[in-house]
Amino acid sequence: MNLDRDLRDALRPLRGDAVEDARAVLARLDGSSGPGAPRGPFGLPIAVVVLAVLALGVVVGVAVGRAFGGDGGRSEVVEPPPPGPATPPDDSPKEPPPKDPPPKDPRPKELPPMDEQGILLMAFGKVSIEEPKKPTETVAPGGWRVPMGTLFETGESLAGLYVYDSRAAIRLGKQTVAAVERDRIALRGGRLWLSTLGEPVAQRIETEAVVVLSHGAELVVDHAADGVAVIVLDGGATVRAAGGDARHLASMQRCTIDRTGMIGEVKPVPFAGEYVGWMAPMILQQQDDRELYSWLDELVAAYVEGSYRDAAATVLRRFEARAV
Amino acid sequence: MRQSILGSREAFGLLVVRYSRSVRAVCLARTGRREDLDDLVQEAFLRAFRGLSRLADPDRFGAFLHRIAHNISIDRVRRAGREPVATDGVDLAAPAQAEAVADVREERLEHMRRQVGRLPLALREAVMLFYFEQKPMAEIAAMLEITEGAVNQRLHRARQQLKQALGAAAGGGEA
Repeated sequence: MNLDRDLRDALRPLRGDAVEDARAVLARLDGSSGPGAPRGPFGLPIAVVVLAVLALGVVVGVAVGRAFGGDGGRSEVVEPPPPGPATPPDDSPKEPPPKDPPPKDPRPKELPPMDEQGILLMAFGKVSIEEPKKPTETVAPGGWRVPMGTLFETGESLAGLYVYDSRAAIRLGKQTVAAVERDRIALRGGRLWLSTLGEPVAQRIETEAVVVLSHGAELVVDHAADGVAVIVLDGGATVRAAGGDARHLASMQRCTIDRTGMIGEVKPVPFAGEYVGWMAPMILQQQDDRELYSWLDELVAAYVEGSYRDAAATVLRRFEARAV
Repeated sequence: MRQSILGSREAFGLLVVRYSRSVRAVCLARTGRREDLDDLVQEAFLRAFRGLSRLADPDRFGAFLHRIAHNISIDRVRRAGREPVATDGVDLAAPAQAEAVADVREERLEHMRRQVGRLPLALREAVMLFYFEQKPMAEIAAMLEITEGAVNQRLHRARQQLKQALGAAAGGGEA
């Protein structure tokens, strides 16, 4: 007899359903947006959700940045997302100016104007940057304006970027190295999520093995040691390998390209959460709770629906760790 | 932000998903009352949500919630006319299993559930969190506000008592 195993087996029938518990608790809380509200499957909708989340998170920075009147040089433009000690004011453009508490809901009604220059960096931790013709330096968590052509190295942090000129929204995962231009991203390693907040704009993501050509698509490019994975969540993109081979990916399709430039079979993306869950910490550290709720609703719906329960649970756990 | 997450309804729902089994384990270990266990679990979370403003350190949410679950379980047992004395047993038998009594293993598991229900509260609680909720030692220690060594000791004592109680049926197998 194995006492450990038998104890687990004996007590298993006593377990409840955690999701049902959550539903019941939320139903008993007062308010209007209870868990019984209709939810869509966690497929394409997350593309919209994620887009909105990034838009809001970055636009918060843009709004505050505009309020501080940045002049195109690098300057901190928004309160760092994670709590931390206040930085003393300094005249240097590299240091954050004294700030009032951020407004409760500082989101502008419209996207930032096209005449802004450069890139807004939302650093969710320390991020190394190398501006053109400047040495590498590390910026603290927060919002920073950097010039076009800056190379970002995230290390153990995450980062969100907004390219003013093209309205491209970019998220960089951990251990990602990427140089960002108006319509071109050189991805040297790591992964990124890309979308466009305004009119669709042609974008080119380059690695040594492949070039991804997008026209306003929402996509993820994951550049690992053994190759590159391209996942299109919305829109379409063309994948062109260094050897000349090419494939077109439509919405919710993916493919991999090995180190020799061989493009693998185009496969469907059944559950977007598997490819965007790494962005959860950025969602959590942003100010807009409603978008967080949307994520949670979608994930819980996917969990309840059951087809992608494990994947949904994986993403949910990313939230859990930060939520407590 | 952490505070706003804790204070938001839907995000709180996520905490329910995460902690519901451990709250269930605590309430069940305390009361053995499965007939209103769902209500107890919900009540614990509702009180936790409403009391979040008193929670100075979000990292201690687990212990905070555990205390609430502990308190409402005591209240419930008192209201039902039973004293929540640590040595009191609780009924963890699963009625639905009765039809499977012919199954030897099911019968043994049912017997084991009854024996777990008869463990002293401190041991029963540790067993429930470890085997039922399958929480790691460190998390159990944080929830119960004791050391990991103490959790280990309670589990060891619980296993010993269970083996004794299960007697020949247990056959002396080690966990």
